Amino acid sequence: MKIRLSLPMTRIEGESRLIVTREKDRITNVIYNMATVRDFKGVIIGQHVKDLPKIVPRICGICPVAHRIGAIKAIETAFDIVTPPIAELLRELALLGEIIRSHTYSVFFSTLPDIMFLADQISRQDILGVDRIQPRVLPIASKLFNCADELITATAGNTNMAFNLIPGGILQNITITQQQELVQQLHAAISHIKWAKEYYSWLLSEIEGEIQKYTLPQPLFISCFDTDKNRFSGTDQVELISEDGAKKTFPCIRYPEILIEQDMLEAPTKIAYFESSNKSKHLLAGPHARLTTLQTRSTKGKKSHIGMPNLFYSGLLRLDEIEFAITNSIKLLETRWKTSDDISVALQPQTSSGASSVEAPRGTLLYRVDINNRGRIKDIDIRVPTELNAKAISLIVKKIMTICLDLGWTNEQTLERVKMAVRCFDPCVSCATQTDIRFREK
Amino acid sequence: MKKIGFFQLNSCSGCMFAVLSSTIFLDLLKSADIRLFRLISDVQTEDQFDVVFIEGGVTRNEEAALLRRLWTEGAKIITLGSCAVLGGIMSHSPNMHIDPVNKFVDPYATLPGCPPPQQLLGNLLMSAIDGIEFKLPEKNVCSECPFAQDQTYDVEITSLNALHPPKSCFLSEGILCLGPITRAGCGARCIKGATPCDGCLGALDRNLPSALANLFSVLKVSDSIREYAAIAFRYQKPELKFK
Ligand code: SF4
Ligand code: SF4
Ligand code: SF4
Repeated sequence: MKIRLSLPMTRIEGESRLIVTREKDRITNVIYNMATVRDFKGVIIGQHVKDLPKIVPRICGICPVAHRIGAIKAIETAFDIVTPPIAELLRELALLGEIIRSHTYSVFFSTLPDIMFLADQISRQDILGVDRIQPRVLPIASKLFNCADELITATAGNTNMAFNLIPGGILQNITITQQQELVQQLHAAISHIKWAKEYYSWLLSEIEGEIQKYTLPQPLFISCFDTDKNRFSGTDQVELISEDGAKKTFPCIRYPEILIEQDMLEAPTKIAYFESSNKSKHLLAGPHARLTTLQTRSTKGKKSHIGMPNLFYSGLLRLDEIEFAITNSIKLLETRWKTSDDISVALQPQTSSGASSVEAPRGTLLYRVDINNRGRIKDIDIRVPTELNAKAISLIVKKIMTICLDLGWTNEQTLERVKMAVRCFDPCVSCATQTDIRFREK
Repeated sequence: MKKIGFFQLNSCSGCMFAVLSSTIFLDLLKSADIRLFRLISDVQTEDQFDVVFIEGGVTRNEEAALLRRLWTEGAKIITLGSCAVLGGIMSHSPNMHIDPVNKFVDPYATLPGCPPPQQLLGNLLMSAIDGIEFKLPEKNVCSECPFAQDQTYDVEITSLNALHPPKSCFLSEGILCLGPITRAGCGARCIKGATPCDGCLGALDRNLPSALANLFSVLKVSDSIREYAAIAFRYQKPELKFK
């Protein structure tokens, strides 16, 4: 007899579940399911375009800045606005703050307890368990949160609404005192992150054999990381990179043609496939994809072989990105900015469409918006990294299941490994469940 | 040690993240028995709570049933954030129904805000540990605003957005600000960041429609703004009352 169970996921953002099939006391199937629906499309359509940046930060409490910047950039492309450089800079700094904030949660609260558990360091698999064995971790996480909040607040106004960032520019500039204080605080965080990286690497080396199972079948990497300026706030180009290093670049406004939406059975989450592939290929967005973009840039023109991504290394890549975010913020804050009085340009709403791409902490975030002649939003489409990663998540869940069954592992061990694999993607349920409610009902 | 649970309903996780990044979070971890907080822990004891914090609005029957069960079992229910307290931004969805938590149970304490201001959140978390009563401020946002002395209701309101930092009260610059009818506690954080208040802490008199009607009766509000007045209900449906 088959029994289906629904188990809540833990240590990820938002409410999602593992739907588990058990036959004769053995687990035979696991599906990762995001059951909630959040109808942001319904809330947004009909609103004034100037309101869009105020609404979208509520899609996600962990990466509201990325959503706000995504919406702002889409509006700016619709109205052909070129923003003052100072606004671009503050946006990038705010996004770097958000990278620190989001990755701190993902590494210290979500994946570190897993690798410490696998390395036989802890029995209670959460931050409290970590704290009992390694008391440096929690204060470091707390300091990094604080650093991130200060950086976002100084540049974007506040951490959750980022109201200083508006279509056309910014409302007010950062002061020199704020710049100096931030630089000091960020410098103080460097030694902590270096220690965390060493510790994480050591743990990974302890479980080298075990984590080989978590290798993802070769994906198509997706990213819009601006390799010329080293910026997360992206260009208007999105890049797809395959295993042989071949690149396909397309303007983000074309993403609805390139990323084909498919209904994923039993997991009400949109997923995207690459159009030119006959056999559908899963995408991978996030730190692995950004690293791949950087690596292929250094071998311009040449095709390089891209290794299969091991999910457990994404924690280490996130720590690398935190370090990058800190050092790059210091660099940007220490630069003498040429600022004029013009920190924003006025908006003249007209019938138009715009799109944008931003590297949010979890990967590429895509916006497309249609606006009518009264400045009201006619239509909106938002693709978040977790949707782009949805098929890869389902593949790894199946792969881990098969391995565990072959090894004759207990149900408990199997589910534990599945959960660990899902967490490595740092999925965001709040983001991924904001899409069109009609799509889900279908 | 107080047995505490943190539950997320239909939400963005912003309120829970505010708890996580709060300055007293470390104290909370060590001085309370946290029995459920899925964002950070695998421990999942679903009953025997002294206090539960709820984030998000209610969209599913199972969420309403969970709230009723927790309440019946004697847990003190604390609603955290505008979604749980008022329904929040999702209550504007034309395709789905969302209710605030107080439609199903009587909260012991409420803290609105999107997300709640850190100072008040810290007080609330401490009160949950120590059992001291938590009270919301009984003043409006203007009372915390550096521009309160410039306030005037004589200028026609023609805009909902600022384009630069205000030199005086937003209302005197013709920009709608809901400070006069909104509960204090945030230190006027939006106004200090050059953005008018849009009422995330809810109406001071707990009845937004009547508070707005009063405000609009004394302000000179242009027709275009009146047409777009729904913006004043960003965090709740117009018919809802703030508990
Ligand atoms: S109140 Fe605001 S921050 Fe809290 S869950 Fe709702 S939208 Fe998110
Ligand atoms: S109306 Fe707004 S800007 Fe004016 S005093 Fe009140 S809170 Fe401040
Ligand atoms: S100023 Fe108004 S909208 Fe802003 S945090 Fe305070 S109550 Fe909320």
